[in-house]
Amino acid sequence: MVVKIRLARFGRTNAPFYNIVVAHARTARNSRPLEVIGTYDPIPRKDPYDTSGKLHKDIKLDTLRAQYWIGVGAQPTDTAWRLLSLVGILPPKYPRAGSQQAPSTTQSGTA
Amino acid sequence: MPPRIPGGGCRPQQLLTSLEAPTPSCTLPAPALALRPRQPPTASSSRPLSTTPRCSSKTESTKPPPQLTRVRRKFLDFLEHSSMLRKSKVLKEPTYLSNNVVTRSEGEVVQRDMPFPNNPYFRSQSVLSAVSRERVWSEVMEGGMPIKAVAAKYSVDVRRVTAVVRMMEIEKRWEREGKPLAYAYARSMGHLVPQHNVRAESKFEPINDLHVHSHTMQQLFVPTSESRHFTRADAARAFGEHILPPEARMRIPELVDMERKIAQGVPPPVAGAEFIAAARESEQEIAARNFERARSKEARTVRVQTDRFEFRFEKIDSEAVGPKGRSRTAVGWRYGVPLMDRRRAEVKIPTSMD
Amino acid sequence: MRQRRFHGLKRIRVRQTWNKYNLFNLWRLRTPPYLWRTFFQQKWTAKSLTRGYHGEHIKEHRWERMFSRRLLSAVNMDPVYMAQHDGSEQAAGRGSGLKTRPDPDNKHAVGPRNNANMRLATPYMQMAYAPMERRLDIAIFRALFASSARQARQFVLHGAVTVNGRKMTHPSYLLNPGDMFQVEIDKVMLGTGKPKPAAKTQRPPKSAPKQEASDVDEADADAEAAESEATEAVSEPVDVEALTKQHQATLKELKDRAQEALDAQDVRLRAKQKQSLRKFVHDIKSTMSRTGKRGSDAPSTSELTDLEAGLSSMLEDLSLTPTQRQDKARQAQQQKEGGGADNNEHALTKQQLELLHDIMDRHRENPVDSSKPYATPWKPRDWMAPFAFIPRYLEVNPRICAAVYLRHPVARPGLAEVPTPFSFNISQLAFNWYLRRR
Repeated sequence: MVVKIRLARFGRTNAPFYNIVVAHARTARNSRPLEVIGTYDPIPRKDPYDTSGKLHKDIKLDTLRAQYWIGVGAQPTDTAWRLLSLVGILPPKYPRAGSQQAPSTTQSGTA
Repeated sequence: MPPRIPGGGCRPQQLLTSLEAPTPSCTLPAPALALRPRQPPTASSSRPLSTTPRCSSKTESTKPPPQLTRVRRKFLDFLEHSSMLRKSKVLKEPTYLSNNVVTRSEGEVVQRDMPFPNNPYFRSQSVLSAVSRERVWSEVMEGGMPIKAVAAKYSVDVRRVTAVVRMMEIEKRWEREGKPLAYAYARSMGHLVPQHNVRAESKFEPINDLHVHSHTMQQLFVPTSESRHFTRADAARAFGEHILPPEARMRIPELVDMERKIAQGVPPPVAGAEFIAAARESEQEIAARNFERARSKEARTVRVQTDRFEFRFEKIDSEAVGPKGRSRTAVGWRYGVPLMDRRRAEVKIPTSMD
Repeated sequence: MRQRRFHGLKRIRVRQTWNKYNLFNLWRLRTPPYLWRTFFQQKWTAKSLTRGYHGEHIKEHRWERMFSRRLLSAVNMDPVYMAQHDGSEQAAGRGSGLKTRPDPDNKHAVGPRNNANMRLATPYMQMAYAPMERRLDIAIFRALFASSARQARQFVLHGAVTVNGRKMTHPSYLLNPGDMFQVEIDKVMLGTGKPKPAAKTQRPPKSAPKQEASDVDEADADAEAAESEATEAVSEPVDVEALTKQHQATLKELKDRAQEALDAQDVRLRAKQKQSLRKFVHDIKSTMSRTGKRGSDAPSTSELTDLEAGLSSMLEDLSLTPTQRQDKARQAQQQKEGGGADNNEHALTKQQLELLHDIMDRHRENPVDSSKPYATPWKPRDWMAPFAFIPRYLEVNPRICAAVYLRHPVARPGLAEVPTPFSFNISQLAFNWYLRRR
């Protein structure tokens, strides 16, 4: 059976919160997965006391496990692919026509 | 079964002790309340009914004048006689009801700082003035004094010092940005609320408060030999294994060390300098811990900038889920745990804002 | 059911508002006679009285869930005592300290004591409503950012409040120690300031009521008249020329009235101040007329009205209270005695200049702005002073309209930090009601 990397929706009405899970393709969305490899909070947030108006989204991800599951043939869904491609685990699936280069990645703190 | 007597409380001991303290005589039936500038009753009753009262003429000019009942007449008299409480703009010092209007029956003391004439246990205590806030801020941010030392110097609670500094930083930033601040409001609050100017050796509030733990509110009978040296630490242990002695619960335990040194003969300036050094050291320890936590989190984080949002990927270990795979600290929304959202009286709003 | 008045005169109900009816009720509030009533009846009455003040906008079952029988208290530990004693002296002998020689001050003294604590009882029962003070809306009211708890609640619901820098729209949010809440400055000014006078359809008769009014009232009325004219002028879409003329007429009238006011006060040393005021009024008037004559760059009507209102409030500031006037007079006297050389008849003295600059500064900080929803320049609302106190568990910075909830309110020897207008006995009975053993 196909193993997928996908999102499982939790949270409440109008306040989604996703687990990034590895699960068999034909199991129910929120059933117990093979493994939870991260979370995705899709609601953009501001830093407290930040007046610049910049928004950020928080994602927790075990990159090693994600790479492992992709190595053994797990198939990310489109949304999961997008997230994994942001950290460079996968190439972008739908590179946008307008921008040639990938979004800028900065590893802060390890400079 | 609680005692069914009037005034029988849940804490008979405290009730007894507090009843010994002077209670207001208003608990007796029919206390004598009197207006200080008392006017003969004929003056108010002879008021022509056709004229609307002056105080309400502005707002109620379109309505017919309210019927002047006895209580309304009393009300209008009260407004006339307490006109000094009305003009908040021209008042230059705290002005409360107790001191200005209410005179009680014989022999009772009404204090200046009692906003509620019935409650002598609540006083309008002073707040730090704008000058004091500025000074505390400059001592901490410009002088580099440790917060505990500033707190001990001016006898201001440590938490208050941090709050003052935190808000002054915002104030300074807004001033730099040219944001309009509420100067007019602040000035009139400075007149209406009692102010305290910090000076060394002037007490503002107790700085070594201990919260009274509920375990220590019971009476204990601990049989022990008369020769035993039974200290505070022993007493704490008698109340419970997890109850800490006061030395460990004080906010500024360094002060005790300083006093001990002074009692042993160390000159006070030297002991004071050592106190400041100890306070600085303890603060630096906490700061280093916080910094290390923030640094390690930053090292785990990858920031990806897109057109609209910044995505922050935090590296985690998905296998730290505990022996049964159901650890509370495991990543993600937990499986197999019912969402108690719809249960009655469940708190659905945030319990903390970080 | 018929809705009762919020501030009634019939039933004495004290509320969390800065209202004159409330002040009157607070003044005549007393413990109801209870000697011939059953314990249940006493508790019922006490409960209903106290709940009318403490969070009357909160449903009873919500408060019952918030209620806690654990009453917080604090004791202060004196570092000197802690350094000198380890507590064993209190347990010496048969467990209550060794008997020392009789102390003339205190018959019950048993040796050294922690002197940081007063020897007073701790009024625990006044802390019955302490959990209410954690609520965000009530904390905003306690920090003097709103004129009533209900108004504070509205500020929160309208999104004007942030907690720790993030918007919080739940008035029932329970503050944690260390939380900082901020209210929008404009909202605070609106809540605590005098309301804008309502726009009048007819020009009020100027001469008749003014002459009876007292000094301060006159200044107030001046400001109000000017402002009502301002609103009138803005609403009318007529030609600018006539309006300018009207404004100049108003200015003249203001100036005249100022002179009248100054003439009426027969303090001898006010002469110089009178002069300065007259000069100031004249200057402004002349500059305005000059700008009016240029024709093409005539100032807009709103500018003119703002200037007018500013001038009128300045006049109000200059007509000082009697004590201040005496102070100023004394200062002027001293100056006259000290250096009489620079006492030019037509120039301002140094003190007058300072006073003038001070007033100008204040008006820069507190400008006339007809777009604001409150009366400008901002003034605190009437009947606010008797309610102006800030409890110690809050630290308030009024300039940025922010406050920090430092800790939960506590009782200490002789003091209870929960602001409650009720006597010890009523609070105690109410506390007993919520213990639910009835």
